[in-house]
Amino acid sequence: MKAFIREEAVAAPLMRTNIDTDQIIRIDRLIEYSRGELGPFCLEALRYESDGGERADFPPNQPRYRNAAILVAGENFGCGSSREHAVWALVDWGVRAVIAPSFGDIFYANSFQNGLLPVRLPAAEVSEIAQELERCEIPRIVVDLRDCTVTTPAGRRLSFEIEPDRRAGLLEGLDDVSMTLRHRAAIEQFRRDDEVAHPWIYRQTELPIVKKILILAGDGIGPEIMAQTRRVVDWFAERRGVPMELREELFGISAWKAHGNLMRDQTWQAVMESDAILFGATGSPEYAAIPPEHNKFDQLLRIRKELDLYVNLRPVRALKALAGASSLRPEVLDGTDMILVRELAGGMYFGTPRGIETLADGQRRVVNSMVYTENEIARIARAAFELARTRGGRLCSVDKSNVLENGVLWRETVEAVHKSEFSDVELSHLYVDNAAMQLVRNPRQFDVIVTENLFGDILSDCAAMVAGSIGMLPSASLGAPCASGRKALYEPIHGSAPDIAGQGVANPLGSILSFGMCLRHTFNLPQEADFLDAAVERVVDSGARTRDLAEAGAPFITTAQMGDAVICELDRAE
Amino acid sequence: MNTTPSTLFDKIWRAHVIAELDDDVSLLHIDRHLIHDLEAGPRLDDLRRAGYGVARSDLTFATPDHAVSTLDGRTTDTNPTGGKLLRSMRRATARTGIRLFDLGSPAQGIVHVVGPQQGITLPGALIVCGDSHTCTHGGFGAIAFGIGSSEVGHVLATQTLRQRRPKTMRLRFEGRLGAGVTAKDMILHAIGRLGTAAGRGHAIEYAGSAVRGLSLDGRLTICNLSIEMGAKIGMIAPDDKVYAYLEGKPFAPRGRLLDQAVACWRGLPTDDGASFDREEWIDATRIAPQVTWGTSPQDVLPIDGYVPDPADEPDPARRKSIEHALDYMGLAPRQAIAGTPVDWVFIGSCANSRLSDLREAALIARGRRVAGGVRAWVVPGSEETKRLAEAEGLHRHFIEAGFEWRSPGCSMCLAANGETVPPLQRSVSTSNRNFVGRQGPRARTHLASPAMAAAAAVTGCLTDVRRLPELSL
Repeated sequence: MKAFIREEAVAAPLMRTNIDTDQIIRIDRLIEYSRGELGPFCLEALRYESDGGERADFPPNQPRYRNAAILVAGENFGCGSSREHAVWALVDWGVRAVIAPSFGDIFYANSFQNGLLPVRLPAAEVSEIAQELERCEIPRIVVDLRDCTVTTPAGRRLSFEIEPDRRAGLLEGLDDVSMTLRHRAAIEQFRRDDEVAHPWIYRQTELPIVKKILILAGDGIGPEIMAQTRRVVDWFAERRGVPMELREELFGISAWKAHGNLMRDQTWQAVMESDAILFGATGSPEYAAIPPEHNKFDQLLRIRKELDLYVNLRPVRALKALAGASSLRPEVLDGTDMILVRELAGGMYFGTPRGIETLADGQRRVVNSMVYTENEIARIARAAFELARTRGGRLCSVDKSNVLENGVLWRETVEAVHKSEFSDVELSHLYVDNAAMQLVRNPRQFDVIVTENLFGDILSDCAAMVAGSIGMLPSASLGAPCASGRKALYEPIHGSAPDIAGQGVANPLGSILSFGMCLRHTFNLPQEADFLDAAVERVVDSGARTRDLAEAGAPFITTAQMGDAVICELDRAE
Repeated sequence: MNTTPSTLFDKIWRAHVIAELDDDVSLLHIDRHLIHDLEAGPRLDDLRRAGYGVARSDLTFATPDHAVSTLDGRTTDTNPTGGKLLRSMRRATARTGIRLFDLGSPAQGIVHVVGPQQGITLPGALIVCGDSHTCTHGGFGAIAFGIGSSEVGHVLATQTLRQRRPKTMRLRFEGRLGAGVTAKDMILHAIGRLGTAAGRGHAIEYAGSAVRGLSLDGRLTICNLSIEMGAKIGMIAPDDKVYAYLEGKPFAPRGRLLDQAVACWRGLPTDDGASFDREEWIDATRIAPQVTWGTSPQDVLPIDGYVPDPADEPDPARRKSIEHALDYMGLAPRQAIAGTPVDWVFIGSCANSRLSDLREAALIARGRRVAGGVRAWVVPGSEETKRLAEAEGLHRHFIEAGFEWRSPGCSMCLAANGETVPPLQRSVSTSNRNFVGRQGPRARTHLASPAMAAAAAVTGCLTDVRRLPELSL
């Protein structure tokens, strides 16, 4: 802000009492115009006739007082609403100081934040100055903040009182926030003590809101990438005080080997109790060796079904540093930042009837069904619309309504939800084949996409190529909103990669960024999530490359070294 | 342990001081930061540009109220400028983890109605918001005050504020209120007696038998108009009515934590023998239903009073003010204020839009009709209030009488959403400011209680509500 030291300027008398901040700036003006544009509207009811012409009885309009930088006013100047825009309007109009017997408390405080000096002088003095302004040849006043004096038009010197901290701030043009942050240690200490003395200010029940996080590393490269993710989780728990109860269970082949059971009761219980699951990967040739009766279900699908995780989120952002790793041209990718919302609980993957039968003539016949109820479509649409609202405000719904009835109901339902609840979001529709093309042709056009389970599975992998390597991509699967928040499962989109398991070459960033999504959607700490995302981006920008990211023949670092790099960057940036 | 008798204000202020800075400035911890649609997007974006994050998003609560349309079935863009602000509010609160009671949410409403209703406002708390009527929350025994935009940014970045400690004033209302006299009338009468600058530099505690007898809504109304008396802070000691009300409210403490809180809150009321910098006393039995005549809340009369004559005013500046006010309001000196015809009636605003306000107005509206040529609106203070009012069937009384029953927002109190009183038209409003142009350019505002506003609607003019049962329907 502009400092105030000394001002010598024409002053205009405005000898009315109780000039309130509504008069100084009207509400509709401060909504429509920004700071810097408010000058023409300052005191407009006093300044202009209803036809827009200047009122002759308003002193600053008169030639004698035109462009006055100092106002002399009656008592209680700036009373009423707290709108700081009143100060901005005066400053935009060119006023540097106001002299009055008294000011509204909030207006007075606001002035000092904006380089406007409010000078309090006794009413009799103020009246005297106003009269001198009318009588003297040149209506000029000098206000000097260094010695706290006002020199009247007649040349008399008056002293005024002002709070020393206010004066100091205005003389130096200082920012209040940086001044306060010098007391950071005292602030932290107070908060620690206060959480003990008045705990109800910080929470609603005696139990602190601690999220239960379950780690399931799984098969293949799962354990080695999850080990790095675990380091990041611990970092946020210890260094940022993110409150959580962390638990780890074996999943997949390791569970079979240790417990003789792909999903023992204890693990299942942990799954059902958790607020969020951090999942590594699933898939291994060793499943073939498990007797079929012990391997009847895909346990990951079972978890998704039981927790009703119907919202699958796949963010795709083009990182400049990795533009070379994508099969798409850098100028096509640049600026891509979208999220694919895939319906995860229904559609083609779960619809019945399904199965292979043998016909009378010996041929086999196979059926799969793409099934949705209106409610199932509506709930995924709602989740997507809500997400779009917090981003660019645009949703593209993808279906195959020109051929499939499934698409017809899908489109109708999405339109209905849009009309009744989310008309502020821009909605468009694409057929899935065209969507696939658009993702490769111009991925930048998308903000949020919503679509059916199978379509979403396919389009997500298509969109993944924008990012250059599937090793970078996180995902979240969320359940229905309830009192304690949505249940969730976070996992990188890549599989278990059994061919490279145990070699220490896998990229842990997809898994680490999945924890970032957990910070955002489970913990509701978007600032912490942004902090982690930014740290990962800087690590990649600095040139750290695991084998999947490195150019052919170029050197690369191990999984653990990538983990080191992320922890280092988090430490450095804190 | 402080053994000198202390006031309610002293006790709460002391508990929030982090450090005493130079020259009488204290660094205070903020327990609750409420933020509305005019400030949220712009301040959070400013903060990001300046490189700061939000210090405590968990202690910050946001709801759109100033610029949203109050038309039933309103959407984000019903008021287009409001829509831009709302979108930026959504993005900014999502980005920083601040809880938003969005349009369409059952908790949305005017920020000073939502706070107490949702259990966000607690006794002994220090509450701020970028709106001067934040003093309202003092009705639950909190220190609450309005702050400017820069201070909003400061609170967001640090969860603290630098403040000079105000002086203290106790304003006692003693005696029993007459029939038809409400909390609104009490505070308007007090502003008329003491003036708009009386409370400047002070935190006011309201006390006395007439205050103790008020409902919680009434206490919030009294505290709401503290700023119109110049006081940023207005408070009433909490008691069992408040503690009972808070039980079960969404953000209020529960279980053993509530017990612990109540035990602490019982120690808050002003000790016997504590001293105030200024004491005032008002005989509540002599208060009549009030209505303002001029362009300041201090320009107030009992309904059976007469508009002042500027010629009777000795002070030249004040005389000029009266002349301007009469000219703006289209009133003649010495005319009886009762009988002045009205064009608009607005029942709403953070001063009077709570359930008991709607009940009082509905009692007058029931079985009557809005007078010809008058437009009358009822704007409940929050979705929760609207829901409760509809459960009692209040809306039917209003609708059948010809009032418009609308959705929550600040609406015509300050016309930030385009809902204005047309130029030169005369309104009776249950809000708290009758400034020049407040309800629209050249709009003429008379402040009154909900019952008085309803009475004006059904008779077409400023009316003594106490006489209404005698008038033929």
